[in-house]
Amino acid sequence: MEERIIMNTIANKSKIHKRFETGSNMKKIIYKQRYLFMMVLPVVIIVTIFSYVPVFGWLIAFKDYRPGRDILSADWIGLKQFKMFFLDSKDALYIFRNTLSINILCLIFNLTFACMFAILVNEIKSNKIKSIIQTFSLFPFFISWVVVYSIYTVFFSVNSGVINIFLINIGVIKEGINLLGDPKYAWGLMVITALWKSMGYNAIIFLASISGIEQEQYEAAEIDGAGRWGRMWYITLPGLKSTFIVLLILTSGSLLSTDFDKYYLFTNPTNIEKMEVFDMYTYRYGMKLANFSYSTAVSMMKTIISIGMLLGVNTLSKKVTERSLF
Amino acid sequence: MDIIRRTKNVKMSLLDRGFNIFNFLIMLIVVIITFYPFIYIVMLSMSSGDVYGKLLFAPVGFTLKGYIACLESSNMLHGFMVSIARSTLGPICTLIVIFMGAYVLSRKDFIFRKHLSKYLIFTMYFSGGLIPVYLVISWLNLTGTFWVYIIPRLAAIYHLILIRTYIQELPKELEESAYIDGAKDYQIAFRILFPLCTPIISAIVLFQFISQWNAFTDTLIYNSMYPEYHTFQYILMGFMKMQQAFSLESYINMYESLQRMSVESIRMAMTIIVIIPIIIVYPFMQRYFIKGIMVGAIKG
Repeated sequence: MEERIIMNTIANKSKIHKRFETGSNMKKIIYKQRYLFMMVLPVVIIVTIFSYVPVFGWLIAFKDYRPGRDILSADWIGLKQFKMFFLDSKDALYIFRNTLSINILCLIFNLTFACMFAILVNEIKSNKIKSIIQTFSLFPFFISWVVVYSIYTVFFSVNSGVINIFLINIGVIKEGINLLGDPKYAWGLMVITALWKSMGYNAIIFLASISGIEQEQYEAAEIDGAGRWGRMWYITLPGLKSTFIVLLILTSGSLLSTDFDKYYLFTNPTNIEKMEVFDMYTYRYGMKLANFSYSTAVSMMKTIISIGMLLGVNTLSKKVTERSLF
Repeated sequence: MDIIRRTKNVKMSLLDRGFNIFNFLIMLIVVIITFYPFIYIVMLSMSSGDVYGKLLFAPVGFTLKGYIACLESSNMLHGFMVSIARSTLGPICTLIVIFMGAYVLSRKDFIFRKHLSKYLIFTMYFSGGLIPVYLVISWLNLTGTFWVYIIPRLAAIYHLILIRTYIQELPKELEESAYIDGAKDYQIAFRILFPLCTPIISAIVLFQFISQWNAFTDTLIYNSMYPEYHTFQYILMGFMKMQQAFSLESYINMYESLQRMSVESIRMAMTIIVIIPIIIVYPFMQRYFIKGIMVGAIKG
């Protein structure tokens, strides 16, 4: 009994001592690591200013703010903008529909095609040809969307696009297919451009995974009599399964986000009902119509829902596959 | 056993052959689809004759009028200079900032390491939104300046993480022995670790270069009223969106096809000019980029 009391007192004393020591120790450590603090300061400042400070701007969504006026003196309007977006106008419906449809379609097609392409490229025996194919298929990834749009107008414009005129000349169609303007092609067009630009790049990630599969598995399969197709189906594909899932999870948080560059170029008054996505809607109301308050409310909603989706998919994945991001 | 293996080999090679041909065809289609458009617009940019609806493999009526028109335009030359400036200055500044940050975060003994990592990485998953960021930037008086192209892009967190991962893979003894020899933190970072990180740094600089070169949204939002800061990419974009408006007003009927051809060839010349730096940089990308992405993919 007494021993325990003595032990406890000693333990508590050393805890108190530790606290004192930590106090002056902290200062010592900070001084010792002063260069580290100085070196990390720029990143922290930039990130704080351009990523965290804007969040204070979400206040605008609740106020009747006009550009040029002072934020604090503007009238409080509460959830009026949110009500307007979801209830009063039908906009929320078609914006959600467009954004989610395009993104989900792009996600499915991008991953599937990249995966298949990677598997096929992997089957090519000659390394020289492999790298030639990669060089060409990877190139569109590095050009700007402006160039992509330039190329697409040359090929697909209704009256003068090469593909359209060619198809008319050989009699397949009577008039040009308005790929760039007609709303019914909008989603397909977005998927096609995404594939054309990114398949080579996405395939690299899968190729990296394939190279991580142990050779012994292939050799064992060959001994067991598996042919080309057999090996692809039973070894390569399952080996890519985890990469596929990780990429799926990673992209799930950004299902409401889109490439602004791309949509700015391809959205026009004719296809807007199917083409307009969240970011373009935010831009139209924010920069073009200068309705800062409404635009901020919409983008705030988008960010919150996106984070919710990311956390949701992450939790789901943890439960189902024991694999998650955080 | 040998006979069985030999017959198996023969069977294999027939199926194999079929598969190889199938694979080859698919690869051919992919390569044509991704590459032919570029060949076409190069040819188109140097053509002046009637190219209506033809698939080109060579210029029709060879001319360099489109390119000359670009070179004669002071606006375009200025835009080109602005683009070059931001694409070289930007990556260098960003690299310095994130390399320092990456080094600090790689130090396991740094007291705020965990908290700072979370603070920085969290920003990859959300954005303040178009308008709030615009307000911050105009509050800082960065609108209508060249620096709006550089400063907000200094904290490229994803690339920072790539460098941090790379540093963590390097042997600890290097840092430790330098430390024992009395080197200070910044000396260890820049004199010892920086040269060792050349592969990942090259990949990142190239990536940043391309990102800066291809950007036009920031010009659109912050500098559209300031022509002296317009980038080449932005000028080309303006050209294109204008064309769109014209075609809606039966522009085609108003002008002779010849004149339309020259507008088209200027547009094509600009497109080619804007791709040229990418083409120059591309072989280097191939060397370092694929390695960098493999590292990122496997570790990330």
